[in-house]
Amino acid sequence: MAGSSLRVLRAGIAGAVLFAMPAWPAWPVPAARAQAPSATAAIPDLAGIWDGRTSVRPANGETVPWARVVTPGRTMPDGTKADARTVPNFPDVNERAQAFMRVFDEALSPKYDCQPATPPALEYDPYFMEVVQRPDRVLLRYEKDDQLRTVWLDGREPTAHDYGIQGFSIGHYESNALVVVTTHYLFDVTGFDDYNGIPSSQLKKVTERYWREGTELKATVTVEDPMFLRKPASYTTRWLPAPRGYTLAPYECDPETARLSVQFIPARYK
Amino acid sequence: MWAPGLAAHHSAAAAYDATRTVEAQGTVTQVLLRNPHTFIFIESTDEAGQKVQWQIEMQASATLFSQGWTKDTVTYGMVLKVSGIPSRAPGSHGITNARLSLPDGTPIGRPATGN
Repeated sequence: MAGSSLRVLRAGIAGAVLFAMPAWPAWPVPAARAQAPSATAAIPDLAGIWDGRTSVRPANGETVPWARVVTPGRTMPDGTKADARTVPNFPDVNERAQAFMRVFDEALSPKYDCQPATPPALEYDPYFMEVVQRPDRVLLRYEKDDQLRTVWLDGREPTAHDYGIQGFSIGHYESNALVVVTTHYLFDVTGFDDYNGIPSSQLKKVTERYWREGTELKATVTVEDPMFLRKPASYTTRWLPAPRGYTLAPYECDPETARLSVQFIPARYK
Repeated sequence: MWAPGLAAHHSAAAAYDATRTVEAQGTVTQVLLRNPHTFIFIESTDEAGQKVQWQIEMQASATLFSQGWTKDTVTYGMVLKVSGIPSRAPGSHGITNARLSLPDGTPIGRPATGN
């Protein structure tokens, strides 16, 4: 009883403090500290709206970007053609992941309720993306699912309160590239791949490296998740500049239509 | 209009049987230009004289608009011919990867140029 009263008292004090604070920001921001320039940290120009549609690269699917076999001549997610040296990159999933994959039921996929895609799938969904570079952060704005990811460059670190569907991203520039490390994801039953039913855990760590090659924006996305993967899995993809004047369209996922085709999936469980 | 795969959102293979094709003709009763996918409903009459409602799954409206589709491309009351991949569930009437045309064969919409 005393413990219960104490919790109520603590909650009341916390609430009072919360309401007494200035509206925003309440975050312990390291005084607009941006990454210090250095010889190894040239800042590449990644800003703009980028085209990731299937006219630029293959769309996501059972075999893209996670290939079990790669036939020479096949177009890879980065727009290049596979040759005999191209190595399949299907993830080395552990027994826990295999068990999830066996019982996976397409009908329960969160996407049918408009839950947004997350890395590593979000990056190769065939839509446009906008990159905004500021001194203390990079904004990655996706047309797909209206998602906005903030990559902090100012040295802040995630706290226990920063778990979320898109995790918490920190970044830095390195050798003409932007390196983004994202942790603090929530468990997601299709958080690695929704075509093969591979989940991801709170231990998922996604490292992205973005750089320019001529007019292209390229990225290598590497996923670690010791809860489900025996070793890291990785793919490289690309975007091209969006047509002049293009602006991101609102996605406004509609929960009613998102689930309409589920009725066509033969029931796996009763 | 040829609407390529549904890869942007989900595995079409779970709901549709890509080893088969189906054709239908009917009158448009509803158009839902939405994301993550657009749906067109047409009503036709089967061989037994019963009315059948077909649910045609198209690409995301964002994608269709970027290919030149407008809200007037397919409208209520139009008669459409549709060919595509049928839905899997027994007794269901769904089509995806749909080619749309007028009854005389005139294609509807511009050819798709991406997803």
